[in-house]
Amino acid sequence: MGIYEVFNNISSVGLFYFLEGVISLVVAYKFFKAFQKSKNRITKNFAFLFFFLTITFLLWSLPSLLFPENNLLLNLGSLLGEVFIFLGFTFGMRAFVATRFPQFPQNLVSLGVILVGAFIVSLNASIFGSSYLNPQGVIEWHLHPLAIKIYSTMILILTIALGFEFFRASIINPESRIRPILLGLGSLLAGIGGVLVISNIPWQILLLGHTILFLGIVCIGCAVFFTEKPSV
Amino acid sequence: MENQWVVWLILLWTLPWKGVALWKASKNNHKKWFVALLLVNTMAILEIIYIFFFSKEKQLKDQV
Repeated sequence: MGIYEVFNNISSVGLFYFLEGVISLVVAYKFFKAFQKSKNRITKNFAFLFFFLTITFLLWSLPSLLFPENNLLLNLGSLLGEVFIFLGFTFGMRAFVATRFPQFPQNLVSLGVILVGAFIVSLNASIFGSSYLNPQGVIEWHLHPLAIKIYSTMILILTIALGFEFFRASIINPESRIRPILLGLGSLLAGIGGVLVISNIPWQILLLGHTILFLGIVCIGCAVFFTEKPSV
Repeated sequence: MENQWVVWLILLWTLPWKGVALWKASKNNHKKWFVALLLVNTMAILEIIYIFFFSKEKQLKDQV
């Protein structure tokens, strides 16, 4: 098989997930570095959110990139990836609650996310084998209908809440507003894209969802690398 | 469920995590954690969080 054929047969969605995984890893590293300096627990929660997102994206991408014919690996990656995404959400929700509602018990929120996450993973495990890579290179997850509803609600709650929190931060501190705006935009785009990619919809819209999700992650990546120039 | 072996796969994934988490909870004398980890099946999410985060907090406190 020539190099042209390899690239021609590559799964576009697998590539999107892989790049998202790499960006998330860099973002997690930057947050860990920031945490080491500041010792801020919210920064640490964000670092873990992106660290677990990295594992998730790699688990979702590698089977379709390396073993596109192997449906079993794709389904295993799907299920394991879900476990890690809910680990990430646990820390993401902690970060949001610690910022917006510091008086609210964070452990209770974490427990709620874990229980809902475990329920969703169990639902999807009950229809194990439903995911496949279509001839256009798009992964069709075909998750459990109830799981999709709960999953979408969770994604939207997390991303909209975080998105608006970042936008609020940009209004409160107008001197450094580009970074929070990028983070807010990235969060909202990732939320919309995330909901689309897990839905049972035609592959063309799935691909659009993946593009939106990718743009969201790119925005977050840009925000982390963006350094505000001090105003003279 | 059509794929019965998925249950075995889930057990293969969950049980080692549960075992380590229960071991650490008993060593740290975390009774509430021990009961929760024993009774609730969260597909290893709770176990991973306990092993890497909450059990370490206890160890750090002991060191101080």
